Amino acid sequence: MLTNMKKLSVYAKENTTLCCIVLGVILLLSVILCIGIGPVGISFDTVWNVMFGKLLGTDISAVAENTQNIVWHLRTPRVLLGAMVGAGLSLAGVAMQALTKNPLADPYVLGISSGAYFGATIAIIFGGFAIFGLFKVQTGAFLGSMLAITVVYAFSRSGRSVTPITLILVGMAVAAMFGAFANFVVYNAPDDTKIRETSFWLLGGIAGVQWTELIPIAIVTGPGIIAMSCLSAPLNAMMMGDGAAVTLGVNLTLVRNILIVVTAILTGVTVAVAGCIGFVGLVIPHIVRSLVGADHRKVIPLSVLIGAIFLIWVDVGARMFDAPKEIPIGILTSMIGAPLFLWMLKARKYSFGEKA
Amino acid sequence: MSKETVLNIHELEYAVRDFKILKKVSLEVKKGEFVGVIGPNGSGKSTLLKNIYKVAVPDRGKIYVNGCDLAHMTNRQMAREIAVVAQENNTNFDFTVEEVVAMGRYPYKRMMEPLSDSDIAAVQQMVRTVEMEDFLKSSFLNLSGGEKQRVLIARALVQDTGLIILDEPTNHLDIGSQIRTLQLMKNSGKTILAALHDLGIASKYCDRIYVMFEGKILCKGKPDEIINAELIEKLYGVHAEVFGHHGRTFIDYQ
Repeated sequence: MLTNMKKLSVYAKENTTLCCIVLGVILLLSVILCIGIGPVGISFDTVWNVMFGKLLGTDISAVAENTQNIVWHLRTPRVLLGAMVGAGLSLAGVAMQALTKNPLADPYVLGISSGAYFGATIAIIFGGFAIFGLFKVQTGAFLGSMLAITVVYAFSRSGRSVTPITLILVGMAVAAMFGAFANFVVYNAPDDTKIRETSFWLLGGIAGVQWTELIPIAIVTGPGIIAMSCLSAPLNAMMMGDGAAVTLGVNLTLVRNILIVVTAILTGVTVAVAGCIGFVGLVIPHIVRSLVGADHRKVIPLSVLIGAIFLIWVDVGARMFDAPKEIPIGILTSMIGAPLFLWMLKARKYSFGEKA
Repeated sequence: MSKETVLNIHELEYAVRDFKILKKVSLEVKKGEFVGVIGPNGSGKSTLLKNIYKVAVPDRGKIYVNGCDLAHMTNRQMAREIAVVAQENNTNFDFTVEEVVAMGRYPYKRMMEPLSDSDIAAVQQMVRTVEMEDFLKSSFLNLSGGEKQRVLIARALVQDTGLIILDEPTNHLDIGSQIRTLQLMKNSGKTILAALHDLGIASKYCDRIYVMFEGKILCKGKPDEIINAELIEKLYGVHAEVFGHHGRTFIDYQ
């Protein structure tokens, strides 16, 4: 098993492009398979036919109206959201670990999730942001996350530049502060059902998502991936130390600012629509690094693909484990991700590069 | 002027808060020279070099690289003129030797532009130059200090610049690795500016030496002309006897 893993790892390192194509195909197949899996099982070719029909207008009247609705309105947006959330969080995790050079960093390290939690609690418990109607929780969460990152950025700036270590410390403090605000709001909640709703939000979930809710995340995920891919070379240079990056021609301030903005928007939008799904952004980049090393030209595309595949399958678990009841996906990502991570630390002797 | 000037520093000043680290430092390096900067800890030699490679920004004074004002150059433009070998073994990330050396081509690449065949050939050639070809696919993290330094030299050579700066590159290395490192640099035929600690090593490899003391250039000249007992006493507070023999300098510390 171990030697096989090693072979796979060497292969993935040498043939990253091929790996990406294979993973891309797996992702596509997973999307179609996962749309079929649920309390009501739907066969692969039915899903395929409905998707074709909806996208290209072919005749699908042979498929029952009800099945069509399950495929197109219930499962497809959910699975697509899962893929984008997994990709986005993994990407943001890569960005944060690179920016802070800290193995514990995840997309939430800059207080983004606490800010979102605060915004969401105001929306849920006090009915804030009501003018946004159905999307008041999402709006509250997004605005909260942007508020948190703005505070973090303002306090960690010194001169023109932001240093990673200050960023982590300030992020930690701001996260604690917004977490406390949110808990204060929860503590003062007038009725208990709202508290339950809040804790469900916090655990994350992508069930029951509507097509329209996909719009913001669909808009930011693609450009986020492209922006990060463009930064692969500077990111590699930054891993060798800040001084080395400068002498290799990297504009440190600019790259750091881009990283912060990309991560903030990506994470903010993700958290707004899907809640605080933990562990994906932390663990997927580590798994990918343990396979192919630290080169971002490999780490970025592979993290995006593996993150997307991981999350849509975990979401299958979320709806099947205790069907027809739903389990919040945030519980499952950690339940599955943590043992995977532990195994990797033990079996692959992975330690973020440091010699064991 | 017989040779063209690669690096020209004019009355450079640099302070951290109110503490002046560099006081009107002027220095010149001509093409093909191996110039050393020596001085005790805290004399400002490393700070001087950091001002040249833009990790620190001077308060006053000018730095010209091949006649261009450094202050008006972007990091990327600078990286095509100056390569740096410093002590940087603190990366936690798992890169192969090949990947580390290939970073030397980054200043020439547009975003997402892959390495060309000639880039890869240059990487392989320089890895052979530093005799690390057997480690091409090995992890940089698992190398010894001396091997890492050779890889970083290969990266600097791949960067294909007119000037290479060595910022105390051999401090923690054993004597064999120190000599191999500097010999590689000497053999490369590049113009070199190096901060060095060991006076014997400095006098062996440098064409000219600048001596820094308390943020100023105390004196400059050929090694055998300026390294003497009086200078060592003043710089380090150590008694020493200095012998000259066939143009080489030998130091016996008391």
